Amino acid sequence: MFVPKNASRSRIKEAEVGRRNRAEITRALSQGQVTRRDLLKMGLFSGAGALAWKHGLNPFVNSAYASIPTGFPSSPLFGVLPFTQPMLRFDVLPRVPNPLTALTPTPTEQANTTQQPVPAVLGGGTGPVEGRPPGPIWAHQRWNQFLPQIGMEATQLGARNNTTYNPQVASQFNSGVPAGGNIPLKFHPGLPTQAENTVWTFNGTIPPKLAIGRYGEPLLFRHHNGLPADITQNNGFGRHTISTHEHNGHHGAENDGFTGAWFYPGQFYDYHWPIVLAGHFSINTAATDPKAGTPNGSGGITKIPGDWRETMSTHWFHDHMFSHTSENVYKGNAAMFNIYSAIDRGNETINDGVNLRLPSGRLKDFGNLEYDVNLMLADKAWGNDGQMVFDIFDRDGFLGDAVTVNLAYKPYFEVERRKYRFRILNGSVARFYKIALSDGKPMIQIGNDGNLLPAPVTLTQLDHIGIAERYDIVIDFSRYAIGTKVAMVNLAEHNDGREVSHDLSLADALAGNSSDPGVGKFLEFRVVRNPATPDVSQVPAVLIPNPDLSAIPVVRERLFEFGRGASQPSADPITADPDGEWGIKSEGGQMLAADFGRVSAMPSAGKREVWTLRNGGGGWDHPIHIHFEEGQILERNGSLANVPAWERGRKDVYRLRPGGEIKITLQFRDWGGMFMEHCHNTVHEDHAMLLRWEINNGGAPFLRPLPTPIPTPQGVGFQDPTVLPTA
Amino acid sequence: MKTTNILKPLVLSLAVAAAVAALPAAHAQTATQSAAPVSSSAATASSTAAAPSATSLVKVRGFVTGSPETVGFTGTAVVNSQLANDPDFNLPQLIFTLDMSGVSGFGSQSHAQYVITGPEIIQRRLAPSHAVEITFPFVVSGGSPLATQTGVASFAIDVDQNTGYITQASGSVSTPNF
Repeated sequence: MFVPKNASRSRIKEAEVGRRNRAEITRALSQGQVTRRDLLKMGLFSGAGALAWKHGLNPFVNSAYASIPTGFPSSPLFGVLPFTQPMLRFDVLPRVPNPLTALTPTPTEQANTTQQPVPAVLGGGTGPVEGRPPGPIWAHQRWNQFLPQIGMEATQLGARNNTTYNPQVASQFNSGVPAGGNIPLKFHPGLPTQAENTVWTFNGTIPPKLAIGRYGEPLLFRHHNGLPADITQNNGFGRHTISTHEHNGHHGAENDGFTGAWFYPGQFYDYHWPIVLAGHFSINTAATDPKAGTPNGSGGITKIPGDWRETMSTHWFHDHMFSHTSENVYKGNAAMFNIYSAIDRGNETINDGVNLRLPSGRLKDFGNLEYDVNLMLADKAWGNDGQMVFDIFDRDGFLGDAVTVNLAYKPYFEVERRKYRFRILNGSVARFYKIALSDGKPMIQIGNDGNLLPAPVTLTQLDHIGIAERYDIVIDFSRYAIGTKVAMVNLAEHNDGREVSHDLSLADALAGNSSDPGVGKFLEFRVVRNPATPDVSQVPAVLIPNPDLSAIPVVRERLFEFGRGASQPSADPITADPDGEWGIKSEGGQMLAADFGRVSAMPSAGKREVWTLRNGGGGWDHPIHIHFEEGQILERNGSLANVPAWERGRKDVYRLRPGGEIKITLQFRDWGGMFMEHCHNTVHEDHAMLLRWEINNGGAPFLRPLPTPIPTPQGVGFQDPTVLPTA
Repeated sequence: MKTTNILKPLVLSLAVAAAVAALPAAHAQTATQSAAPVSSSAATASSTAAAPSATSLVKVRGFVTGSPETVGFTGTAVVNSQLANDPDFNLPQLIFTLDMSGVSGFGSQSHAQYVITGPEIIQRRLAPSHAVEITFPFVVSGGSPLATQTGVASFAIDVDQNTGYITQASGSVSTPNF
């Protein structure tokens, strides 16, 4: 797939020519200069959506110099060796108390439509300062009941130095790297600095950002769009309009980052995250259950309504721009969000009978990060100049050949001889990982997606972690002597973006027996000292049991099939993807490409349903994400026995596996509005394996099919949705 | 929307590239890939050759040497093979599920029973024969997960190309050597 670094110059040049040609297509698409339909007419894409079978374009066409595919040029390393830079921990976003008075302009229930000038390149005139759709339908639900107590602000910006880095741990817990400093945007100190419009991140800096929240403390996240107003200023990929999805927030739809609710450069969008336990309005409404609680700031618990079995812990947030999510997330629009609760409070010393005392730290009441480490995996690629590239070689997925952790190329991380919790996020576009330690020693998986498992699972090789999935694991480094080095290793080999082609043995992965540069060691742990205080953290035998749904009737079952050959009945130039070949078949109907103006399912508020998610083929895998509500997997391929222990908790991303089928159960509670279901291989999602579903009770303001937002720089309009007959 | 001129140079260059592609291969290079298992120590294997089936019961034996003691393993692993056909790209996949929970260990000094948790799920392109080597966790029955150790299990699995059913399988346990 990737041309070996020791290949002949002719082969390397040939692959580079192909990539340059593909980059032209990517640039034209990202800047809206052509549509995929235009590319079809020009013979650059086939009717089935694949890149035309042309030499000098398609990397799978045979090389002129070998009877193997042309391949992709490798990313030059400029002499950089693996494990020669420290992994920087996430950069914690400041928490601002009393955002209603601290933020300017003051956050409002309905979108702030104060007018401001719009740049000529965006059509001129004036437009609202906030990009959220206006009016009561997109007002923050239950605003006065959950007035934000904490504010956070970030601006999406082009690459720049980080002069305000704050990992919220002392340098000895960050491989010697202190807060502050002046961190250039490089994947390694020996690699070139990324140009301003090559990488777009939160605040324009690395490492990635971490939001800290706790239950019962409503947050307001103000996201400013500071990207160039000129759509062509993107260095070849990325769309300057964004919509920020809090994955998998249990919030009103206006705060979900709906794919069609994007906002423009120069605007902001206020996302209101109340952070309530699911079942807030129906279970434990008097807040008497001691396990349904949140840290009170002084070692105690403030009880809150809702079902404690719905407690969530590890989220992330990222762009969800219609048809451009893959480019934008790859470009840097990805951050993590740790949510703390009485049961998972991020303090390993408080022994109150509720706190699980998972590895974290002890200095603060909640949210200690010393031994609780976020890891974001993402494969990247760059050209000969070292600038990151996005290679839309086809619509099956994008693979990079350089695995980064927290946007650092193959770093090391210093640890003490004790237990650590790692919150692993697969932030890639299409790559799956299968993680082992280089010595084969065990890891304990405690969480899957946002949720702690009912019980920990000890594994020596983790299951595939699909795109957007999160695995929380505990590694006990007390078994190692000081001076030991042990690495995380990826065993999953890709030949393309469709699926894992081959899981290697650990021995083969370590021996380099793969043509996929994404296989092998990617993060090295260095055991550097004993802990200053005894490790009192625990991994209890019981974590968070699943909510018992057995007494709740299932009001409807639905079938969704994910496959190729999608059609697009809509000609709407804004809401409908015109020719994405990936699609979703609802209830046995047509395989449809995405149209965010079309409602494909309308579950009733407060009810429980069972959904079957079927992979329509064996040549690909799909990690399917359902917004808003966690689900439980009832069956894999027809049987609960096929659901492994690490998938028996609540989830929000469901890997179907090739040719596979799963049955899940969901409830629809507390909030309303329009949500999505889609493949989180974001290239599949963009082309166009995504549907809109909506909570419906036939009348209440948020509980009926709502008008579809149509954003423009001058303001957001609306149009009536279409609704599938089977919805 | 101006679409005709934007990518015109690209379309022209591709015509040239297509001509280059017609040249004979001059500098053939191939990537190597191996699935050979590491050598196992003190391991024995047995095979099953019953009627082809999606699930095969594989007798497994072997030792894992190390601290605090050598553990001998014996029992039956359940190996399942699921074929995922691929009419679009003709690259069918096999998904192997290897459940070692029916294999138990016996401590050479403590005489304690060791249990294995799992399963392990492995994805491969369809081929007639597969050498599948996995690591597996084992721990004294009722013991703390923090005391879990690691063994290696190696399987040789033959499958029917049409159904993905297992036609023959054997397995063994050995000591990790990473």
